[in-house]
Amino acid sequence: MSIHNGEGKKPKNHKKSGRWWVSICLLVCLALLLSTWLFGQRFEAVRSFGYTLAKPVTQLVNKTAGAIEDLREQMQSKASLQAENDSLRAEVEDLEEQIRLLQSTARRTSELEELYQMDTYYKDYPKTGAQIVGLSPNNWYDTFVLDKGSADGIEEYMPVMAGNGLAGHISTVYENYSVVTSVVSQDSVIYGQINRANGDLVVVQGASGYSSRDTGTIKDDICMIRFVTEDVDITVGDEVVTSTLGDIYPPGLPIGTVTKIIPAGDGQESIAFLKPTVNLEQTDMVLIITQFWKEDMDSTLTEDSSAGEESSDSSQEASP
Amino acid sequence: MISPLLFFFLSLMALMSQAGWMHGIQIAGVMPNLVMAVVVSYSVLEGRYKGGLVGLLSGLMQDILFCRVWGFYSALYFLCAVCSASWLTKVHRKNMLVPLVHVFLCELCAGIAEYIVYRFFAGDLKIGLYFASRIMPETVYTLMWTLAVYPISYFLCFLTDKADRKVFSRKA
Repeated sequence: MSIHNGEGKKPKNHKKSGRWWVSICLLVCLALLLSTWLFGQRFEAVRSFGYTLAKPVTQLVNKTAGAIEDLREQMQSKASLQAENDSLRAEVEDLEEQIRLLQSTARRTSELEELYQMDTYYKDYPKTGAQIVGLSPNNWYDTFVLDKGSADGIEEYMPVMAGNGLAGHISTVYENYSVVTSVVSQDSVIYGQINRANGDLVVVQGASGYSSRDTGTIKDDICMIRFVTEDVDITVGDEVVTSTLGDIYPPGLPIGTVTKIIPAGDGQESIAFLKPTVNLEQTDMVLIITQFWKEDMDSTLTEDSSAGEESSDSSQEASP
Repeated sequence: MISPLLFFFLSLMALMSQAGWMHGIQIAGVMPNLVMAVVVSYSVLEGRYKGGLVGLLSGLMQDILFCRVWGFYSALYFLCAVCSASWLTKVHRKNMLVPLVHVFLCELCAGIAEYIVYRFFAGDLKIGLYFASRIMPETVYTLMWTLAVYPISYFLCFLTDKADRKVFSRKA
């Protein structure tokens, strides 16, 4: 290898021979041009020899190129699989988001259906719908905030229904929102009745945060009835509804179901625990009964019933 | 005498590559002239005799395999090899600029020669168009490949030179 070549300092003879060599080569090329141009067909044997010589080289080149192409495709397929995986992950996230939205919508729909059923069931009570916009910051759900206030005709102590039962009552009213004390709040006291023929009257207290001695756990979403054991006929599974005794709640609204009865005090008393009918943790919409039971609704219901009787009488008279 | 054979083989591989897979790496319909890169690199490293021989044989193979009339590419590659080996001989061969300058000039000349033979004689006078769309892109593309081809050629020449010296010393 003439890396430090000194071809520039070569003697004249060497230069001359180099020129001759170049000239001869060029003449050979020229001769080839002319001869193949004039007698091209006679050189087919040389061409076939050239192909024979080039064939293994072509195969080698093609194999190598094929191997490189395979490698490149593998790399590409890996990259494309990665990209596909990423896009599928994004799609799955989108679909999960849609599922969450649909589930939320379904839950909301079922909640609204329950409210609608309750609205039709208690059609005599004037009601307005409201949305829960805030919950108690202590995570016990004993109070919650509604998006309607005094501007919407809401007043303190108005009963609040949700799902298929009683949720609580309005405890504080502001202009555009109001606070509801739920039935499980320890501030809540409701005159109830065992929902049976001639069911006994009981007092239902909220027992949120009640510390259970036997399990050693704190129960948040429960109510309790403290009663003299011999005076009240109550068993596990009994439903308790609002009675006519209270001033706030109209009668017949489901409060909860008895889940457990334990003896208390000196043995003369017992405590019945109620699971509220309304699951406050999963409630978004509520219905507020906009009339007070004792003051207005009693008379309204009486008027309605009398009007109904009159209309039925008149219809009977009209019929043959 | 190993290196001329090796580089003839390499230029043949380059020729076959140009006839095959290199069509897949065309840029704007232009592919590099790898044979030119190999021939010029070898000529710059080994001088006009060996370089000329490899250029002549490589051109001849191209003529035999792909041309109806032989001699054009033989003369073209031979002249390119001889010119490459005859100019800038005092510059150290490790300098990458030497092969790049030679490849640039040879590619330009070869492109113009090809235009004359294949287009001008056929009555196509749009040399500007061919220069802009074929000759210059091919030159630039070949220069890029020379950046890889020349160091490999340098290394192979170094190895074959070593082998030749061993054979010579045994004979002596």
